[in-house]
Amino acid sequence: MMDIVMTPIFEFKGITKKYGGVPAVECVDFTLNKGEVHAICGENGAGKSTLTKIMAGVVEPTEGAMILDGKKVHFRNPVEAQSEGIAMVFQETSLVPTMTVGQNLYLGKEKLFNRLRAVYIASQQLLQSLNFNVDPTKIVSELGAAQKQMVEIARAVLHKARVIIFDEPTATLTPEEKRYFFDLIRSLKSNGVSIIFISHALEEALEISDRITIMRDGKLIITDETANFDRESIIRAMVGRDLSNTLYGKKEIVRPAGKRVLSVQNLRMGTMVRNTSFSVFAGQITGVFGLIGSGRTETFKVVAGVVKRDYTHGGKVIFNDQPVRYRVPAPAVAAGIAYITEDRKVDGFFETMSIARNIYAGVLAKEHLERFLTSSAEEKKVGQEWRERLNVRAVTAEANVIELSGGNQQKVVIAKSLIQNPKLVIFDEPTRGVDVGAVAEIHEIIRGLADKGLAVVVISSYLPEVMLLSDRILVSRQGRIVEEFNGLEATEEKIMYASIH
Amino acid sequence: MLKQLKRARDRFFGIGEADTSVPVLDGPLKPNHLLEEAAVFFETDHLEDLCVTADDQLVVASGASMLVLDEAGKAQAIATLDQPIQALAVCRNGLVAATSNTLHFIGGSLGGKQYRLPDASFVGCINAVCEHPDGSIVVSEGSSRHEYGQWSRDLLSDGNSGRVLQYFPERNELKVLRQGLRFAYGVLVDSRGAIFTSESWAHRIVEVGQAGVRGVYQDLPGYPARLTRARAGGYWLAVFAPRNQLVEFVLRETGFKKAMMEQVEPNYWIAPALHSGNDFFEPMQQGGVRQMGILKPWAPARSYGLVVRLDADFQPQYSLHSRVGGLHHGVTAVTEYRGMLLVLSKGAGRVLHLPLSDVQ
Repeated sequence: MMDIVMTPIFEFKGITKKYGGVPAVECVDFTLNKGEVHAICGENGAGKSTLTKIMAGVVEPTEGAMILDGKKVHFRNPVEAQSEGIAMVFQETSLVPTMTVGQNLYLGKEKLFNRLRAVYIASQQLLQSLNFNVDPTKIVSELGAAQKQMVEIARAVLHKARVIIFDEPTATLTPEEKRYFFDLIRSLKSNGVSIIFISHALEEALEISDRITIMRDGKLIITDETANFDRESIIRAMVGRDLSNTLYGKKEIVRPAGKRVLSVQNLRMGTMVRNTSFSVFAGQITGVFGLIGSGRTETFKVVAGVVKRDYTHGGKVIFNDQPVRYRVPAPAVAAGIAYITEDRKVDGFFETMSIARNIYAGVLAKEHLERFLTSSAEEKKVGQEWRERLNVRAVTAEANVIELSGGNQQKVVIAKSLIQNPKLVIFDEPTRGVDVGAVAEIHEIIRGLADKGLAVVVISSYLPEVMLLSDRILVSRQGRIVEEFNGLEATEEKIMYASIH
Repeated sequence: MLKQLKRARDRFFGIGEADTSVPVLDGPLKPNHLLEEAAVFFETDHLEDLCVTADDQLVVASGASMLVLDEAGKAQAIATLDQPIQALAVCRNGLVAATSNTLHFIGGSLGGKQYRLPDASFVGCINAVCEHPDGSIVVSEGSSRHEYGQWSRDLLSDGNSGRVLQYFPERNELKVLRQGLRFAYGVLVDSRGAIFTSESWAHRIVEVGQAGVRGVYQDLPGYPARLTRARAGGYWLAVFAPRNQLVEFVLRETGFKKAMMEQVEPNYWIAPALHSGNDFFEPMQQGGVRQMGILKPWAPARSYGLVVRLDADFQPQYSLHSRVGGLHHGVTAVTEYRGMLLVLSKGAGRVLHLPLSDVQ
């Protein structure tokens, strides 16, 4: 530690950014040293993303000055920031979905003529050097969330950035991928790259960073050496109250299984789902844990009719004692299956519509054949009702969903499905990109559903979440459910062992 | 022609007849070792059925004799019949035992009475008896084509000749309540007088009503056997063999089945069994093997020990297992006796006992 000379590479002096007169970031003084890993923590809406976006030239500050290498700078767009060596890996990926991984990596760096073969070979070498297992010839839209993230990281590395900003980089990574990622950060750091690391997983911030900055309501609350923090003190500074007991505490009872609502037998879908069999019972939460690519999401998407199973020998799905096969989601929705997507920005909502209209869309989706006219009064009513029930916070009732924070967006997506009065609710990564306060609220919603007697499935890559919520834990590996645990007997070691071996 | 086209279609798509998938043991049926680790209460050959009499005595049927067991597991014969006993139940403060062709009443108000079943329509596959609140005896018959010991032949020939019958001792009359069942194995009469039976080859429990049968617990992962009432409400179900994909597959291969039944000894048929693992000629299935020291929950087994606790709506609550490689397989009867759960493992020739407080 002592041999690193603490010279600031980047400095913020009194930075303020206002949206329509409301400050998202207010009077922030912030320094980033050369070769340090600096974690920024805070609830969603605390201004972390805005702060880093200013740094990366995505948004321009309203007031204040930015100083890079002792010189005052002003970025009008991300390209300018990038030419100065500042790269940002976004929370929502900024890759071109229709291009291949290799093309995306070299996007903006192309020569006049490009030979794809050379691009792929170079990309392959880069990805392998980072220990990322991504095929450079694949189209980006075919990749999973974690793999997209890897490509983004690889791109930042390729562009030889001096400052790399990671916005929630580990949310989509599995534990082993996380290890690779941390090794990568350490090697970048030893090459003198400064790293800003935004994360909701506080353990990670504590593990990887040299310094931690905590933000709340657009203000910088504290910046200090990591050694001076622990989990509880970070949470206290983040939310101004103590949450640690409500989140990820110990569980003492599990709900008994009710009627078997869903029985999946020998289900197959391409190479992702391979002869998986399991059941889901009413009145309890069934947690599904597995590494990325273990076919959890795909399995439940087949159940919900989002994707189709294999045409021949695809196995069967029995829902409420009836064999079913949904080729499109509409009949599944009508039958009472709600699938709440992991990728809410793409599949979850209409981002430029209001909260009420999004929730009302759930009603229309379920009753699309029975309705001829829509009613704006009803829309307002259900919107109001569900906003109150799930405690969706927005500046105005007419706010578009895109303007909400991650947690509130997720609540809208949940409301949109719950209004359909489902019998089986499948939550896919319900708290991805959701701040700590909203995580507790969403967990409460999920528990409430199980208490009401619904069959609830929670797919999650975050072990503490699976263990906290689930009455039963299914572990998926290579497209198949391989192990089942009682919610009480499961330990992190047992679950990880089952998911890897 | 149409049937063949349908078969061809099913085979191509892997649906209908060609779908060999079986439900997994999960949730309340999650495997454990309770049954395998249960203490042995009594051990003898040819164990068949057990019941607890009105004066709180435990009676087991072993071969042709009826034995009373004391609390230490010591046996004393109370009656010996001329043929092996196939089913046993309490009846009017006494007992009723079924052999292949006769109902014997022992003790109680009907003591000494015998009823010989009409020869013409019976081959001797009676497997359970139960007293009805109206005083009659409800009887389940697995098959009217195959004898009691030939149940696997009945399964392989798609048997659907099971019946539930009702015998009225006063009138000496036998009534067929329902026929065409796919191996009725076990009867139960609830407090309202409704009659339930396990339809083994259809892997379900059905209520036998006036209008027809109604499934109350469907798609079991095994072949259900006898049912008994639990004292605390709900029921106990014995499952005598597991379903597995290999057997499901063979069941759809008519030609192979026929050849197998003609040419191979019954012990080595690819069919469920009450016990296994004693002979290396036995068919086995990949996956029923230990992998990295862990026996997977889905490990396919030829024989299995399973007792399921059902609630009042016949929904499973929890279960007791003896898994692949275990000994206490082929459970055909369960009863409660003085705070203990007694399980009859026909495969092992043992009566097991577990404290009820441990299994919940």
